[in-house]
Amino acid sequence: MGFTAPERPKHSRFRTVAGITLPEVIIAAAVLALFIVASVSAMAQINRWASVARMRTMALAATQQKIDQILMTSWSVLDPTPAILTAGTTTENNLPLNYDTFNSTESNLVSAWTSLDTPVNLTRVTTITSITAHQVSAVVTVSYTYRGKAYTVSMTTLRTTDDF
Amino acid sequence: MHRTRHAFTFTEMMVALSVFATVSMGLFTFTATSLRLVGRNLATNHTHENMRISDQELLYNLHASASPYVLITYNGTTYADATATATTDVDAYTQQNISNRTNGVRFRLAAGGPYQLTASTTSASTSLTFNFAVGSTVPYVPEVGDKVVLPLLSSAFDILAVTQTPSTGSPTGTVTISAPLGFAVNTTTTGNVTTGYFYREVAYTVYNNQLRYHANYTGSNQGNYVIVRDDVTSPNPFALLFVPGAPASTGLNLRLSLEFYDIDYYSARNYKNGTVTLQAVIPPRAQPPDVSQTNSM
Repeated sequence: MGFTAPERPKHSRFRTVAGITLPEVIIAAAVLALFIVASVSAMAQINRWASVARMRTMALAATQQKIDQILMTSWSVLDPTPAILTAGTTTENNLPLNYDTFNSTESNLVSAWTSLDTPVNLTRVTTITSITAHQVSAVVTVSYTYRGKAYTVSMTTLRTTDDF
Repeated sequence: MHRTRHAFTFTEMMVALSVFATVSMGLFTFTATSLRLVGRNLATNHTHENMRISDQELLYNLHASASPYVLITYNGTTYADATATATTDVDAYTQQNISNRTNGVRFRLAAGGPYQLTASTTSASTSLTFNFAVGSTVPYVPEVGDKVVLPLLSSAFDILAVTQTPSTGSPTGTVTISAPLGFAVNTTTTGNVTTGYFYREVAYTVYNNQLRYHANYTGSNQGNYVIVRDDVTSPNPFALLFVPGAPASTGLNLRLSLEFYDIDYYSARNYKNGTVTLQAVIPPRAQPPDVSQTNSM
């Protein structure tokens, strides 16, 4: 009574596995490096956008402040037109955008983190156009340069005399 | 099992190790840089959000102010009025002199009205009765310390007592005012409609790095507040503006200098975090304001 051992499968678990070649590794590393560079660039860009958006909010506040001044200045039909509502263009240079000078110079105003960011200045241009003797339009434009790029925010309003 | 297996050569090992080390260092640097960039982004967006929401909230309520602004101080225990005094500091936006800075401001907001006066008065009357119903509700209930303004008389009065509190079931309410009305008002004749508007004192304070809103800054209610935003690091952000040379401020231009900082991402590595200072000058939108007296109760 003979015994025949079963034939060993041709594809055993000890099959030959090819290694990863150096060129394959280099290509994989290059792809990874490209991914890393792209990711870091994207995150840095997102951070720039976040900072730009924050600056824009402050620029809007500076613009809104001038609009408020234009809207709330007393202007009676019986009085001469206030200076701020006289037709023409007014330019204000070097206004602080993201900092308050006094906060870093006066002891009761300074905090532990005052002036951590780089101060940015703005230029505010107000153009008043006379529509009628009792009505003007105003365009307030705030412009500033941040990280080498120019930005502009603008608001428009109408204003009439307080009385008729 | 008779399979030939080669060991790695020393050169292969060195190359593999070098590649592994380079990739590991790259991944580590990438991870560290990513964490730093993400942290910075969160900080920037956090301060931006704090600033934007604070600005919107302040603009909304300060524009709606029905009275001049009054500076107040809070030292952790006591709220007190502060006298505004002009300094030599000049506000860059308005070219007006900035007052002493404080960590609070109070003013009045419209709380209810117009409500119809429902009981006739004499000139000596110090008691006013109104119908506080709005449809089937009573959205405003007068309190001691509120002010009532009667546009017909162009007069404002402090409310010293609420002798009949209005409710949904009984919307008629009666208040005691601080001085005789000074006019006889007939409410019974058909067509006579006399109304009153009610104003409540509110306040903003900054304390413990929080911008706080006091929806009822009257008497014992002063200490009740809601936090508008945190991470506000300006110790004294509020001031009034003085026209150059003027002895007193109109109290109609509130200057804000709110510094926001994201403390959460600060570290010993001096990561540059989100710090920003919002400057604004906000006037009431209705001028002259409905309530000219700035007394507090």
